[in-house]
Amino acid sequence: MDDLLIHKEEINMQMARYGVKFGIYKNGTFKERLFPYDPIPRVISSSDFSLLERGLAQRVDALNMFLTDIYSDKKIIKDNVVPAEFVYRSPGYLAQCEGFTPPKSIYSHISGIDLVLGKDQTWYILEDNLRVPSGASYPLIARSLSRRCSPETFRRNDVMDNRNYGNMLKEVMDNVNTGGINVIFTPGRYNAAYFEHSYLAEQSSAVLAEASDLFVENDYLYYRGNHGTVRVGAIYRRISDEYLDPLCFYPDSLIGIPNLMEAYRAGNVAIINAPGNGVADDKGIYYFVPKIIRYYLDEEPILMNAPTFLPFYEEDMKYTLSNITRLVIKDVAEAGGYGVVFGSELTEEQLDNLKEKIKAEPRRFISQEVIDFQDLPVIDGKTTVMRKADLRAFVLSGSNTRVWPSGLTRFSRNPNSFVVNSSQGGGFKDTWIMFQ
Amino acid sequence: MDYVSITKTNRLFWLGRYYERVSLTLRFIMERYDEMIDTDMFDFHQYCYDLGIPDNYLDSDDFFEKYIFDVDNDFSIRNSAEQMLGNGMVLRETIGSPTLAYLQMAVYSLDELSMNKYPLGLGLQQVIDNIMAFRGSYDDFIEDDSVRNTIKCGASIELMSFCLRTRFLEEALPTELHKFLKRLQRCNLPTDALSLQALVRQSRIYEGKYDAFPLEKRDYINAVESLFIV
Repeated sequence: MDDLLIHKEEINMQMARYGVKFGIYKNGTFKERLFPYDPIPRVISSSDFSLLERGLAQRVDALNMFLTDIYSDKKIIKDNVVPAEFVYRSPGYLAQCEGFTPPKSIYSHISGIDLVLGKDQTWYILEDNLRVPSGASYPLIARSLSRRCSPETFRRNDVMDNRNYGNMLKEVMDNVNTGGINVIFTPGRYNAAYFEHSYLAEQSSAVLAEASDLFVENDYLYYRGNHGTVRVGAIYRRISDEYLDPLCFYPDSLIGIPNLMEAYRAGNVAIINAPGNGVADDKGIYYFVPKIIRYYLDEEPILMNAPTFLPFYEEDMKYTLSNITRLVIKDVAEAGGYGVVFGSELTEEQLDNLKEKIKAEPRRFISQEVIDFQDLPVIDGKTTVMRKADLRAFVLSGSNTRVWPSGLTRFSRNPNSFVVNSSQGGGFKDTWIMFQ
Repeated sequence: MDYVSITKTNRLFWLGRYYERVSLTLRFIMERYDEMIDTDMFDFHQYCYDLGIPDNYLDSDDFFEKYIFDVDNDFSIRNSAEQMLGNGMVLRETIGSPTLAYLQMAVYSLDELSMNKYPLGLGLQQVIDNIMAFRGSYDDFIEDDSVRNTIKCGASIELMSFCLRTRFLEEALPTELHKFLKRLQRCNLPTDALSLQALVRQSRIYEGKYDAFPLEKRDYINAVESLFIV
């Protein structure tokens, strides 16, 4: 490992060489930044990964069944397991997706599940990302470059190879392809994750396309090629639901494809991930996921949620209000580290304001116990410091559900912060899954 | 087989133009900078006039500084380098990450040079080296003949336009035009018929196969610049 750390500068230079960047909008201006990389990997043992594999696959399978049910029979609502209000009032629920099941009943083909390892050595799931989870490209390229800079490290350590992500992604696309080419649909160069879009297209041999390259005719999606049009069978969209099709969702969207939803509903193209998934990764629904697993699979959840309270329920409202100073409050409509407030950091006045908001809109908030999750070592200049870090695991649902033997470990660069998101200044590490 | 959209074709063409623009202007500037060691002969006002770019530099030092490095100057080499990289970035899956990396390194070399006292000629040589490596890499990496030749057509157009405007490397024009017309047959770029006719005629004149007056400089530039409808 020491050999790898010695080569930190070389690895970062290689990252710069390959343009490993993410974009950020600040004060209305788009800026690209190198994603700060720390060479000390998160190491996960084989037995821990085995537990994670089973738990994550179980969770994603159940969430896919939940989505199939929600947009068809709604048995889970009829059986009073999940209240209707949490489904229909979720901003991620799309009435336009009712009555149609996507190819092979897979809604979430690529799921990004955020976890933390508590100081009690228990893995807790913090969040499910079933819409457009990003981040796989960073540990993917970091591993290749680290191997180049320090081959000895990888000779001496029995680390599972993670460089098969492109093939796994291709298999996921091929599995639901309705006939035609695979396309990765990007909003364009000025998207925060553009590096990832282009890199994954290269790795999975898919065609990178923007809205102007694609069109729908007679309920089929086509790529506008230089040598003629080509049918598209699977489209891995890296754009939010509301911008996907201006004739179905947000009418002013200039980055969507008119009539895409018609082609999708006619069964002529697979959309990866399916529109409407937001109802299942809503922070409000998160509370119900253990129940969802029990309901559809008749199994006990293998991985635990962080202890969560819904002010929607009277008892949880009381608990939240009386313990607010030691809870973290999350706005269910926000993402990317935004809308997360730690009660302990607020003034009396701010606490009173927050309480009023929760009372006025209980459905909008959840509260959680602050998980005292493990710090990981991070190199800071010539010393090593300890920082909070989470793990985004990637679960790919193709002909079967598989967990990528790696993941994006994000860490806070701020000593007292629990917020690890790149948009909030966090960095990343590779995640090693050991054979032993 | 690579699937290339019309948008992508446009980007391939402009990628070729911009990398050639950066490479050519740097080579031109390096020669002028060398001449300035012994003389004070470089007329940057004339250069700006020839290229049709704004002449708002105070003196030759100001010109060398801002024309090469100023990222906010729309007509600087640094800006062309940004356009070169920008077009490359949106073509990653077509040209490949290892190939794209040379463009990224060319831009880094230029930025590093602007921040330190490294000899200008040596620093600029590094930028050109990276672009030369890019040329070799894409030529080797891209399997699709049409894609490769679309980039090369962009580069040829830029080279001919620059030679005609500045008379720099003027002796290379006949060869470049000949190469360009061969490349054109191997790609799928839409062309303007009259411009193409003028260039084919000029090529035949160079080869001695057609006895007529060569194109006037202005007509030649017009034919080069308006050939493609991209």
